[in-house]
Amino acid sequence: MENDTNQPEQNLENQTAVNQSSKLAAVKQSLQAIMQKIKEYPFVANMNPQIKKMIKVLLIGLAVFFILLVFIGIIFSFLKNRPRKVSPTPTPTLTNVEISLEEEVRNPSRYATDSAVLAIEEEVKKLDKDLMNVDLKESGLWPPDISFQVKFEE
Amino acid sequence: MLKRYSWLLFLLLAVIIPFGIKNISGAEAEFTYQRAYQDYIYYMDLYRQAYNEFQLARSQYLQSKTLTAKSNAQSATLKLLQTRDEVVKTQLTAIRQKIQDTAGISSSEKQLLYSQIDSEVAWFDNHKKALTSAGTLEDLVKDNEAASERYKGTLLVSYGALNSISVGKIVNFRETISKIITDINKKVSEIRENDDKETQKIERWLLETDNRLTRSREKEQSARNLISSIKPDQRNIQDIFNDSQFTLEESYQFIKEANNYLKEIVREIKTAD
Repeated sequence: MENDTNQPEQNLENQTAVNQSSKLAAVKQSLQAIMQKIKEYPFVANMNPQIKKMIKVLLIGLAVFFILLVFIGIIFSFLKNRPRKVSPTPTPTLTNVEISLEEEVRNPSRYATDSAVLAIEEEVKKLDKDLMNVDLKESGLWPPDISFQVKFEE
Repeated sequence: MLKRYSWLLFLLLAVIIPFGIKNISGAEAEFTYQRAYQDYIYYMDLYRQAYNEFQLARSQYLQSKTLTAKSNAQSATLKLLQTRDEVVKTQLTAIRQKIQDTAGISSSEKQLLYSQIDSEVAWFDNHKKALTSAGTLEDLVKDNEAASERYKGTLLVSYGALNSISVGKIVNFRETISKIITDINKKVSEIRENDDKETQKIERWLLETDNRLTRSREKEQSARNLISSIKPDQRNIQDIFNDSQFTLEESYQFIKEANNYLKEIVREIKTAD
């Protein structure tokens, strides 16, 4: 039963294989015919066999050279079109760990509740906040993207 | 009758005139950085619109070469040049306001920057006014060339001022840290006199913090040197400015480290031996 269902697919595959081999044979035949015509050409037929060999080598060499040229061209165009890896502008990073002042001191000294120390602590906290929120670069004010290309000649 | 009510008139004037003066000066005082920045963004939008219209009118003129197309191109060019002048003026004005608001820039430096900016703003203001007297499209093209030439110097002023703003912020942070260090030193002296807590570690950490500030100062100086090395005809002004900003970022990182040290010092003072 299974063989019956596979039968038409196998037939189709066989038919395509036959078609392809017949096409190849036809191409081979036509190429042979062209080569035969070239060989029968009086100029080629009367040519010195050594020169004939040299031309043959030269032609094969040229063909190889052109194939290589095309191959290199494809590789270069591929490399050219490949998106360039954009490396981000390096920015210095703070290596030390962030210290928190919010954490409670486990073993407090007599200065833990000192008003001057607490005032200093407040100043440090405020500065920390300001440092976090600062816009150092002010990039919104950087020179605008304006054009001075006002020309009426082509 | 008139004499009887003259005192009433006098009273009314006495109330209305100071009120009016207050309102006028109030309106002047309301010109903040936010307002200046909004003006800049508004003119930038107008410029983009004018630029698109100019491109269209230009291509139509180049295609047809008719008098009507030339007239349209002239109107579009005039609008483009006028809005572009406004963009330059408002951008510089916003920078000026930012300088005004930035602590850390010395008053002498501020005055120098103001005069440089004001000079550029005045030039573009005059240029904009003169544009209306341009009779032909060729006149406008010449006016554009003059603006293009001037803008090279304007860019130098812009980058210099922007660098000063960043430096000012860093200087302000450093001054705050120096003040905190002074306060901590006072407290440490008091603790040493009381002799109830070991202070050597804190004093060593304070020196480390001060060292971070020195490193920050060195980086800031390098950034200043980079900007002052720029020459008007230099092509890579933008690159030098970027380098300077990067160096200032490093300077800022040293300040952040110094502040983290301060946090540790405060914690150490609050902790018993």
